[in-house]
Amino acid sequence: MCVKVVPDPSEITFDPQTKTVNRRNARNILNAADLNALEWALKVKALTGATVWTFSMGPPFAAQNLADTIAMGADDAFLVSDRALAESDTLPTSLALAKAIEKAGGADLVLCGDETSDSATGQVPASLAEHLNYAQLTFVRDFALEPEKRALRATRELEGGQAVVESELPCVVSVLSGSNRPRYTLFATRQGARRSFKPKVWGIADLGLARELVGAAGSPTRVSAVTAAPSAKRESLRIKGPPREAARKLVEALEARGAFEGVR
Amino acid sequence: MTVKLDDEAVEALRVDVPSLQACYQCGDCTAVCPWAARVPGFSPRRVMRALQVGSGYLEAELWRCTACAACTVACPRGLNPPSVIAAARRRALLAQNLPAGVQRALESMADRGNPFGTGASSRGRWAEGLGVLDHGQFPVLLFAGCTASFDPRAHGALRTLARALQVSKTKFGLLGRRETCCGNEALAMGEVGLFEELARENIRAIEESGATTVVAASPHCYNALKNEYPRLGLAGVEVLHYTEMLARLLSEHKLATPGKIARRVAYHDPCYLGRVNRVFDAPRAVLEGAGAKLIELESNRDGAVCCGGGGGGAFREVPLSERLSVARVKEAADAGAEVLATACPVCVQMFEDALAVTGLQGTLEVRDTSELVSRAMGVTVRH
Repeated sequence: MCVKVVPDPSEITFDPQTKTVNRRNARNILNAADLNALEWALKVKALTGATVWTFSMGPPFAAQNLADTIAMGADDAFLVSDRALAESDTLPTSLALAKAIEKAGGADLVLCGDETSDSATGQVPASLAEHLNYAQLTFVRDFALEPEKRALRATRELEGGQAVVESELPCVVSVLSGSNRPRYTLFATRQGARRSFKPKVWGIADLGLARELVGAAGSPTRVSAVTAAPSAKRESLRIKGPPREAARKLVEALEARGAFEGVR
Repeated sequence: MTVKLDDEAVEALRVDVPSLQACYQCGDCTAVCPWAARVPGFSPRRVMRALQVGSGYLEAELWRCTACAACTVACPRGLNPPSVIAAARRRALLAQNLPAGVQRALESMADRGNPFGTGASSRGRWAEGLGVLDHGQFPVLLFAGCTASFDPRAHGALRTLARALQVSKTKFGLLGRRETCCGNEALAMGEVGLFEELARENIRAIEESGATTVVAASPHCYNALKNEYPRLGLAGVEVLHYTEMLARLLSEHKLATPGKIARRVAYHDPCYLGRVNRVFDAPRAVLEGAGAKLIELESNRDGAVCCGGGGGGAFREVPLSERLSVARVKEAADAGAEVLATACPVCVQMFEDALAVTGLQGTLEVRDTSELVSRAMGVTVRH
């Protein structure tokens, strides 16, 4: 399964002057949806006895977040890390992850979070499936393995509905953020793993990737401009009274400010 | 859900809490437990028994306890059931038997140093514009705590407290962003490792500040700093609750309260201040000194009923009929109080909620003692 280390969303601010995202205060944490993916993987492990390996691409410090996945129950972890990978968009990222998964021997099932909190493209799982030549099921809310058929049955979330689909293995599945409750890891277990576990680290040479295929050179995406989305004006309103009455006043206040426009 | 401990867990529990076997099942704990009085079937005595012999207990029972220590005071064997429950909760964490709210709070404490999921960098914001030192060295440290730092309702109490210290010419400072969660509730929820890490971070910051007196705004932090931190290395520091500090400053005439509160005030003893740490008189002296007409509630001092917020209680959703805070505000209103005063930001939070759901807003006011005292001092702070 794949994880990404992202800056804590509660600590990210946007500097309107320099038009840059300020991550200075942010701790590095595992992307929330990836924790859901890991929980799915550990559930599969408990049911089938499968081995769970975690893959990530990122700077060397991501090793400690990979140790967190070991603390949660993953069996081993691999970090793709190389200066040449800096400024990679989703194409080289998914290519490097695919090469790493292949180098490790491939997988029956590759689980990913549906998107990351810091880029939100949702492209890596699909693109990963393409590089690996595996089937792909994206935006999955729920799934069950059918081991005797070497298949998987999943519920995909669509706009305005759901689709129940079946796929053969191997398959890349991206799961929705919040599709389960990731297990709790005792702090001491986490610290123990951070102290003792070191992931295998592979650079582009280990993966047989040419320099021009990765980094800025290998990335077709160009960021032409960054603008701040106008944030709604903050307003403080103190509503008093018994809950029923207070709730009614709150709804009225929200309605008067157009909060429900376009909502059925 | 009924949870049964395996032999290994029972053995581990015996190691964690050797005194557990001393319980002879008299039931005094259940007789005084505020939850047992409200929730049919809940009994600390039964939880103790289940943990002694490894029979099944209800998961909900384990997480209902708010570590109020009513049972600790009542126990003829001198046992501390909340610490037994904390040890059992540690087993429950390992077995993934924990409420979602508790999990969110613990994960946020580990990742962000506070239980509320808020970014750590906004911790010192409550003090903006007050001109209080939040770096370097100072003799007195005001330890704000998470609830007071991140709940806007509590900012007023904290700002007025800081102003009172300024008026008294006390040379004090804050840890600012270096302050992290005190870990008191992590310990009560069974997360010993997390507690120790948080404690070590705070101890390092306190030592760097050079402070020899630490004034805690919250009784929860006060308890951790005073009773738990010394075994992790905090030494040479006097730990005070803010009401003790105010009482001292008033008796030394460094503060004066010429404006009188002149209202009927019922004082609620916070569990970690009163029952656990035996501070009953300082807050009452401060309130009376400020001219409050004190009303003693029937359940006061050692018999005070918990607000329901301790031991992780504030992180769980509790049905309206079971909320201890609701009974408590009704008790104060029935006693003819105009103000229900306390000395804990968690109690304030719980009682504000109870005022809203009982419709007692307008009849009864909930105040932190520092808010009343600063009003009597004539200190006003914009917030």
